[in-house]
Amino acid sequence: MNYKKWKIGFSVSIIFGLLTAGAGLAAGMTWQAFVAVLCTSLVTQLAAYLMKHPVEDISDDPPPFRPPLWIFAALVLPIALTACKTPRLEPGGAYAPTNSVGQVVYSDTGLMLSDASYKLAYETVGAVFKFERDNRIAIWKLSPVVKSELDNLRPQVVDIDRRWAMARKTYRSNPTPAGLTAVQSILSEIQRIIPVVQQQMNPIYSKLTTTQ
Amino acid sequence: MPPIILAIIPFIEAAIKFAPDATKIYEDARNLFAMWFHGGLITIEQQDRLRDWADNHETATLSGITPPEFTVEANPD
Repeated sequence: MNYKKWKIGFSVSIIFGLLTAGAGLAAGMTWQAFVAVLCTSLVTQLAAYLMKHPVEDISDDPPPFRPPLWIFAALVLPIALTACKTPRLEPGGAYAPTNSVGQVVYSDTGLMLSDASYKLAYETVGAVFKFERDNRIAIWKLSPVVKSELDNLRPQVVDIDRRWAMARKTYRSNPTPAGLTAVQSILSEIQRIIPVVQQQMNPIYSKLTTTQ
Repeated sequence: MPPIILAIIPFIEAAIKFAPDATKIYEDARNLFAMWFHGGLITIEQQDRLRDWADNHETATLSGITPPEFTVEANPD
């Protein structure tokens, strides 16, 4: 069993132990009794788990790369957003301008969502590039592959960004559904780059876990 | 100092340097979630701020401005 699976099982055992004691607390147990039940249930759960999966069974394979939370958010966000209702734009904002009598001239929720998602994706990719650049010498010593792999991706992102800017400018001058689709299509390209960029940091993570 | 401490010092420094970027992304993600999950109303201020970023970024990109982290640079010696 690898470390990650073992750790998940271990955590689940602790949760079960806490739930058992928590059930007693909810039923009106005194705090002394709660501590006693908590200790007993934790010992029981953990002992049962460790007897079945002893520490010696953990393999030495490094655990898989765990992406930071912000990358996870950037990946999950587009999926989460599609499942939610369309947001409303407050009249008078840049995406819902009003005329002199306060009537909304147009409301462009599509462009607003596209811009928000693009900003997040672009800054996420840029943060990884910047991290590598700011710490280049240290990362280079650990794994020269990281820079070369990111260097392969940098021109791709610059190209995507240039096409996004052109498509967005075209759409703003002539807002049509086809124009918005073109912007969204380019947005999906940069979103696909996010996991690829993040994957290039795997050698760093592996080296760190091996040295520790 | 123990070797393990010496080994992780560069990464602590890296994490400190990275903190402002991560904070910015976290703020963006949080704002996006807030837009969708807290009544779904995008305020004028949120719209204007996002539009400013998008318009400025579009203009900069079309002018050929590329941030240094997006350019391919020489390998360290």
